[in-house]
Amino acid sequence: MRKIITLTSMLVGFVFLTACSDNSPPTSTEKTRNTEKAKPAVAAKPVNYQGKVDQDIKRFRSFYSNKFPGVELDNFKDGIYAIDEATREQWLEIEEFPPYELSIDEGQEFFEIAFANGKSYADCFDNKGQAIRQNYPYFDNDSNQVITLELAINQCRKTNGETPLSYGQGELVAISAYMANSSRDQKFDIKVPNKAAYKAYMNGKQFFYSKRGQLNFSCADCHLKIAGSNLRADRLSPAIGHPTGMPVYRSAWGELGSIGHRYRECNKNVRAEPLAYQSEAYRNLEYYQTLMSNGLVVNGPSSRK
Amino acid sequence: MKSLKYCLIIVSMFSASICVAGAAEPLIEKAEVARLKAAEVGFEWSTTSILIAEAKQAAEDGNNELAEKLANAAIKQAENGLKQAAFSAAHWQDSEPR
Repeated sequence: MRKIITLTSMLVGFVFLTACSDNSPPTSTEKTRNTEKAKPAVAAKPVNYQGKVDQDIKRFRSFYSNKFPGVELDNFKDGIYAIDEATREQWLEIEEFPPYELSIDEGQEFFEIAFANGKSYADCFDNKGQAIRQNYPYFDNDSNQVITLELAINQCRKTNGETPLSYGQGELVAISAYMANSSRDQKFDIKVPNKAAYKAYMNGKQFFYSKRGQLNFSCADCHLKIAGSNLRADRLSPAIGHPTGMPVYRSAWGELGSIGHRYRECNKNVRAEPLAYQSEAYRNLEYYQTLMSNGLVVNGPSSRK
Repeated sequence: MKSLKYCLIIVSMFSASICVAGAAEPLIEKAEVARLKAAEVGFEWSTTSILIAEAKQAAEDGNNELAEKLANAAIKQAENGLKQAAFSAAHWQDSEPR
């Protein structure tokens, strides 16, 4: 009797399991569902950040081409002297015996002095630091920030156990001038490789167009909207080409200064509290401005009024 | 009783003078806090810290009225800096070339 019960329960179990397992052909809806499951996930189309920036560059350039139709694009590297014929001749004469020449020589001396550990600046840079200015600033994926040439010079010092130099003017700017001089006529070729770089670019762009200070002026107000107009005795330079001639010897300063030094001065002019040298905001601004000047050649150091 | 009355008058006059001298201080502190808020977003005006320094100097010199006036002007500037930051965040793209 016990055997019969056992065999019966086994038979019932077998029938139940067979009924539950679905061997029937799938319906059309099920087919679709299964196909959807089996379909490999479609990879999101990568965003072309450089493409977006290139569109901006195009618009930026055509603005200046329309505003100054007689000026060749390549000539915007000369700053205000590209659009001001009256002072251009004087400037060209000044450039024959430029006031920054001694600073280049000094910069070379500083550049060649070996650090205490025996290494030198040449060990920190590609191509031993020669003809590389056109690649700065760049976005560094490891540290997730924009690296300017001046910042890289000080990073080199820190890496080699040296104390960093002060930004703005002096020894560091002389080194930067020497490196820029070795890069003359190289075309700026700055890249925006990824989302993080694009964010830095957008921050720089926002800074450029944001009004600041008691006078409520943005960089764009002076150097885009009313570029070429007179502000007291000075004509306002176009923003395109600003970074190519850096560092710059300004007669008003009586010495060379970095682009950061100029940013601080511009901020002071509109009665905005200037930011710290090499602050993230200024580095992003330099990144944005240099990207807008992509394709122009390095002609730094340069001299301006 | 008469001497006690004089004493009370002298004490009240003394404390009143202390109150007048310190009346601008909360405003100066408020101005400093407002200035820092504007600086935090990168929109501090270079004139604000000058106003605050001048307000402090006026308070030290006992010119409370001027100190308050300067501190209030500094607060207004810092608030305008913050408004400017908000405006720029919302409208900076309007100035882009099309």
